[in-house]
Amino acid sequence: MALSKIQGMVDANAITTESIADATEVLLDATYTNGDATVTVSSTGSLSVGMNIKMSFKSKNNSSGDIMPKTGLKIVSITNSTTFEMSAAAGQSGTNIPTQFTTGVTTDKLAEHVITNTKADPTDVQLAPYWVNIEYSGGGNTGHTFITNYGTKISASNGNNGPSAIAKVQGSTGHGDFLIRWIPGYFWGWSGLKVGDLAGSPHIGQPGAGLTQNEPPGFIFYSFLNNSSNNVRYINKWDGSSATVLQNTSSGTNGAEWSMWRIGGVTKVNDSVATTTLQASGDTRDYYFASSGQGPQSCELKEAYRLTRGAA
Amino acid sequence: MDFSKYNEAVIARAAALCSYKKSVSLNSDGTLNWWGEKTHPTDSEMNAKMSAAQTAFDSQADTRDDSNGALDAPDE
Repeated sequence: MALSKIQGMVDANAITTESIADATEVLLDATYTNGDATVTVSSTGSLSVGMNIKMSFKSKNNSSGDIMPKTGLKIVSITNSTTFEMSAAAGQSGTNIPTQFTTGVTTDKLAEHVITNTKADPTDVQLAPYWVNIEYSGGGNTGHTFITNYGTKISASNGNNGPSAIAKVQGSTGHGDFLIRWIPGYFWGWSGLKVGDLAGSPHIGQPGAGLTQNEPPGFIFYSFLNNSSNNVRYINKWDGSSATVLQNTSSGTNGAEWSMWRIGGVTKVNDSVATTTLQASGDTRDYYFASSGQGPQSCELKEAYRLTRGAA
Repeated sequence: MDFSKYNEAVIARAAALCSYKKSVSLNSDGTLNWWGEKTHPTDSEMNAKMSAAQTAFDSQADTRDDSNGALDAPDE
């Protein structure tokens, strides 16, 4: 067996972290001439051949044509202290255009949509109290209105197991502290939240991935549900291999707030009547939340956010 | 017993015809999920009501613009 195949060893042919050059970023105002690959800047001292070139946010691209293509443009040569050559000619002229030059793992090296939730900038995947990624269930369609209250409430009132929808709460909890508070509906169908571990479903919410993966093998999955027909507060835990009903208690709640939070690795849920400890220590899972899809149902988000560790 | 060929709204209607008023849904394997309730219709009792449930569903759906045959669907 080759050494590289021995479990736990680094493949001898693999590119290690050390071998990848640290990324650099330079922002310069540059002057472009239509049909010319020569660019003028105040100084080329911080530039190097091969750098990726992109417009910065103050883009002057317009409907008459782009100064530069949005991908694939590079520096092919440094002519002198103030000019360099691009890999393509400019499509428009422009003076003092804010331009970004980058090295390392540039945007062009990443395929579109390859950044999943856990790989994204944490500020972009903050937990927030509104619904996203709606999917129809039970025959739901565009003729129904499922999201109201400025995106904070999902509801369906179209008969028992009738047209409905599920949606995902914006963002995820991250690995630290968090709080989420919601009001489950009190109808025939189950209302409330389903909670999954992003590690088990890293592409959740992306096209083709669905919004929940009930009972994923090897990963935690919680259901916090409520209804009027069974008239119970129902809390179920899937531990990765088997399910346990943590609570199935009469009666259901009508208009009361439920909450789930994690402080210092201790994760709990409160159904407005009692608090259940979901994990007593060491919980660092990055959780996502989705609604129940069984109509009639509703779930109104009241607040949801990540907390700086030790904030509570 | 596998009920996956039925719309869940038809299953809810069949449960109601068995005088069961609580929530019921389909598991991914086609079995019925009674959500922890100990007392509920048996598979054979449900199966016996499926035809009538489907008829009631279709009859209601045919009279509505939204083709919704679910039990207790609000008026359009």
